[in-house]
Amino acid sequence: MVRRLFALFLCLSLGWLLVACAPPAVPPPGAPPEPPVALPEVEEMPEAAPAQPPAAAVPEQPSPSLELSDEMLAFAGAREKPVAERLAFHRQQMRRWRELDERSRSMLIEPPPAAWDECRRELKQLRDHYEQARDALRDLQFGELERWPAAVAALSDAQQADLDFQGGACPDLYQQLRGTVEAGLERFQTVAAEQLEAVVRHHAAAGRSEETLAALSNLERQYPRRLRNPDLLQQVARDLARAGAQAEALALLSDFTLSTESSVVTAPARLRADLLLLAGRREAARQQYETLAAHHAARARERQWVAEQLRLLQGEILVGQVERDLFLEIMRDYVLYAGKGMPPRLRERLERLESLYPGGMLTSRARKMVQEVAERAERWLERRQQEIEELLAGGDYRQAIGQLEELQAEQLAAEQQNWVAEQLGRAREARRREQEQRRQLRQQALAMQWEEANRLLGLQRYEQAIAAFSRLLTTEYGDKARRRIQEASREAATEIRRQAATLFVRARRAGGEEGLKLAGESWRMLQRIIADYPDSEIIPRVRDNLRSVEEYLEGLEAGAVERLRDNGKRSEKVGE
Amino acid sequence: MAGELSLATLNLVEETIATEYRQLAALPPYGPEVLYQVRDFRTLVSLHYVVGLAREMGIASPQEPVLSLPLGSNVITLLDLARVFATIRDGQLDLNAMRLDEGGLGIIARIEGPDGEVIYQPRHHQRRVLAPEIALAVSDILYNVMEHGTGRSAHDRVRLRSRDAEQDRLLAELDLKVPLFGKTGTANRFINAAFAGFLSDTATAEGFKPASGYTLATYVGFDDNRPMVRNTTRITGGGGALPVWSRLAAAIYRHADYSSPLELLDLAFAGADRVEVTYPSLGQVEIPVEADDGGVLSKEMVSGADQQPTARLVTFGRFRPDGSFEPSRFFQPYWRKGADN
Repeated sequence: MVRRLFALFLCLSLGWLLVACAPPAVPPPGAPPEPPVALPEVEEMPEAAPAQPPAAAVPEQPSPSLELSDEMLAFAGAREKPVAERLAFHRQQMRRWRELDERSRSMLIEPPPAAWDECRRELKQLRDHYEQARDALRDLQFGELERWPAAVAALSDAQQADLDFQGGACPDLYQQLRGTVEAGLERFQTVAAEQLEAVVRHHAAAGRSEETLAALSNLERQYPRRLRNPDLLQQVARDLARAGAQAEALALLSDFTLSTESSVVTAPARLRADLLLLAGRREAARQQYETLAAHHAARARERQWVAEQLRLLQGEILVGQVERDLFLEIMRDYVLYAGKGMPPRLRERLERLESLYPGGMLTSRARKMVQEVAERAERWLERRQQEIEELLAGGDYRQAIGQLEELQAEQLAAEQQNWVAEQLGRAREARRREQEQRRQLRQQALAMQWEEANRLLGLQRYEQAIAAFSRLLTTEYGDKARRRIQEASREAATEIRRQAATLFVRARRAGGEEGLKLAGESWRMLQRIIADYPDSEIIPRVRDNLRSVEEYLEGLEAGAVERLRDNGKRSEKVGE
Repeated sequence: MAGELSLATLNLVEETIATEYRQLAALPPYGPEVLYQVRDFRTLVSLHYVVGLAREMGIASPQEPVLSLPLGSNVITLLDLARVFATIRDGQLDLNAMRLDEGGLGIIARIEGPDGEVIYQPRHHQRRVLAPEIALAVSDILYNVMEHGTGRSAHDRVRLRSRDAEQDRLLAELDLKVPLFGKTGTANRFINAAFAGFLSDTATAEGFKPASGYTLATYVGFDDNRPMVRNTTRITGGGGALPVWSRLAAAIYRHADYSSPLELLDLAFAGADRVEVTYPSLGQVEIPVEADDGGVLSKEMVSGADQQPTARLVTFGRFRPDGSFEPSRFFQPYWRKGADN
C-alpha cells in the first residue's frame, strides 16, 4: 500500500515530465494490445548472457502522470499474456536446442562451433529479454509506474531480438544439424542392430536357449523392428526347437502375424504351424494352417497378376505390337509410380488403348492399373492437401508455399490445379501480410530503440546513449545514429571537460596539497577525453587546457606531471 | 625687492593699459575681439556651452547657465541622468523622437496585434554628440571608478551568472567579475544620493564590449529632502544608491544571456577571475597609473621598474623618449559632431 502511495505521489509530482520524456513511438497504453508474438514460430534457439541487461540499461525515470496510470496498467495487463506465451515458446526452444546439442555431441557429431554456440547465446539472450519484459510489465501492474520506460525498453528489445533471431540463420542451422543427427542415428542403429542380431544367431546356433532369449529380449527392446526379419525368426526358432526349447520357439513365432496387405514372407508362420504339429498341438496347428490358407487366398490377386504376365510372355494371349507397346507403357508407369501425382500421359495412353482395343484383355488390365494409380494418387493428394492446410493454419507459409509449388509441377486434374492455385495465392498473400507485419514490428522496434537512445542522450547518459545508437548502426537509422553518436561523443567530451575545468578552478582556489590533488584529477580527466574521444573536435582545445593544468601542477610541485603519467601507466598495466 | 615696485614699472603698466584700452576702444564695442577679452563673457559662454552639451546629451530638464552649475545647482531627473550615461557609452544620443522633448521612454520594443502584425514600433533617432574617442576615454574613466574608486564595492555583488543551470554551476565555480561603468553622485548635506552607469553589451568570444549595454541610474533620498544622516551614518551615492544599482546589475547579468558566447572552459583553465572589457580600436593607448594618487602616471612606468602597475588608464597620446606621456589634445564642439551624424 505504501509503495502504491509513493508511486502515486511520484506520478503527481513528476507527471508532467512524462510528456517530454516518454518515447513517442511507444504504442499508447490505451491502444489494443498488439501481441509481440505475431512472429512465426521457427525452431528452437540459444543462450548467452546479454552484454548489458536491458533493465540495467534503462535509466530511472520520473513516474507518469496520474491520468496515464490507469492506461498504463491496462497496457501492461494486455501485453503480459502474449509476452508470457512467447517466453514459454523460447524456453521450449532452448530445451530443444540443448537436447539436440547433447545428442549430437554424444554421437560425436560436432556442430559448427561458432555459429551454433552463438545461436544458443542469442536464444538465451532472447529468453532473458522476454523475462525482463515480463517482469517490467508485472511491476507496472503492481503499481510501480516509474517502471514504464523500463517496460517499454525491455519490450522493444525483446521484439527486436525475436525478429532478428527468426530472420537470421539460426533456424536453418538447427534444421541442418537435426538432419545430420538423425541420419547419423540411423546409421548407428543399423550397425548396432546387426551386431545384436549376430549375438542372437550365435547363441541360438550354440543351442543356448537362455542366452538366446536374453539377446532376443535385448534386441526387441532396442530395435523391435529387427524382430520382423523372417530369416532371423526362422533360424532362431529352428535353433531353439533343436535345442529343446520348443515353447520359446513357438512363442517367438507367435508374435509374427500375417498381413494380407503386405508382401511379408509366410515362411515363419508356416514354420510355427509345423512346429505346433510336431509338438502334438493339433488344434493350434490347424488354426495356424487355416490362417495361412486365408492369407494365401488373399494373395490370389498377386498370383493372378503373375499368371497373366506369364500368359502374356508365353504367347498365350494374342496381341498386336501397338497394343503390347501401349500396355507396356502403362505398365511402366504403374510399376514405377512414385506414389505422388498421376504419371503424365497415363490416362491419355489408357484412353488410346481403350479406343483401339476396347474389349482387349490387356485393356482391361491396364484400366485396373490406371485405376489403382489414380486411387493412390488421390489419397496422396488428400494427404498433401491436409498437410498444406495444417501448415497454413499454423502460419508456416514458407513451407506451405514450397509444397504447393511442388504440387503445381504434378499432373493434377483441373479442379485440383485450381485448388492448388487458389491455395498458393492465399499462402502468398498471407506470407506477404506476415512479412509486412514483421516489417512493421521491426520498424516499431527500431523506432522505440531510436527514441530510447535519444532519451538517454537527453538525460546526458552519454555512454548508454552511444551504446544504444551503436545498435542502430546497421539499420535504416544508421546515418542518423552515426551523427547522434558523434553528437553524444562531443557532448560527453564537453561534459568531462566541464568537470575538469571545475576541478581546476577549485584547485587554483585551494592551492597547496589540496590544489595538487584536484589539479591532478583534472589532468586525468582531460587525458581521458583524449583517450576516449580522440576524434572529437574539441581535442585541440583540450590539449591547450592540458598544458595550462600541467604548468600549474609543475608550479606547485616539480615533477608532478611525470608522476601522474607514471601512475597512469601503472593503472593501465593493472587493468591489463 | 619683495613688496616694492619701482616707479618706472608702474608707469610701464599704466602705459600698457592705456594702449590696450585705446586699441579696444577703437573696435566695435560688442565684437568678438572685445568680448573674448572679457572674463565674465568667457565664463558665460562656457556655461552656455555646458548647458547646450547637457541638452544634446539628453538632459531635458531646464538648465540655468549659472556659476554653481558644476556643483549641481540645476535639478535633473533620473531619466535625464540615464540618458546622459547612455550617451557617454557610445557617444550617441538615442531617442524615440526627432526632438528631446517629443520622445517618450524607449522601453517598448514593439507592439504586435494578435495576428503578429506590428502595430507600433518606435523609430529610433540617433545622433552623435561625442567623438568616439571621447566616449571611449570617458567610459574608461567610469570603468576605473568601478575598479578603484567609489564604485568598487559593486564588484562584491555583481558576478557573471546564467539562467542555464548547467552553465550557472560552472559560473558559480568560476566566480567571474564583469566590467562595470559608473559614477556616484552625492548632494550637499546628504540630501540625495545617486548612482548611474552602464553595463557591457553581451559578450563576444573575446570579451565584453561597452558599446550598447544596459544603462542604469538609481536614486536614494527622502521626499522632503531631509538629509540622510543618522548619528555618524551618512548616506552617499556609493553607500546608498550603489547597492541598489549593483543588485540591478547582478540581476541583468544573471538573466540576460551574457555568458553563452564566452568560452568559459578556456577561461577556467586560463585561471581568469574576470571577463575583460574590449574597447574598439581607435588608436588609444593604455598607460599604467597610480590608482591611489588620482590616476597620475605610474612611477614604475616612468622609472622603468619591472612591476605590475596598480591601475591602467585608456587615453590618447604618445610616449616621449624620456618615458613621459604626452596626451593628445583634440576638441570638437558637439554641434560639429552632430552635423557629422
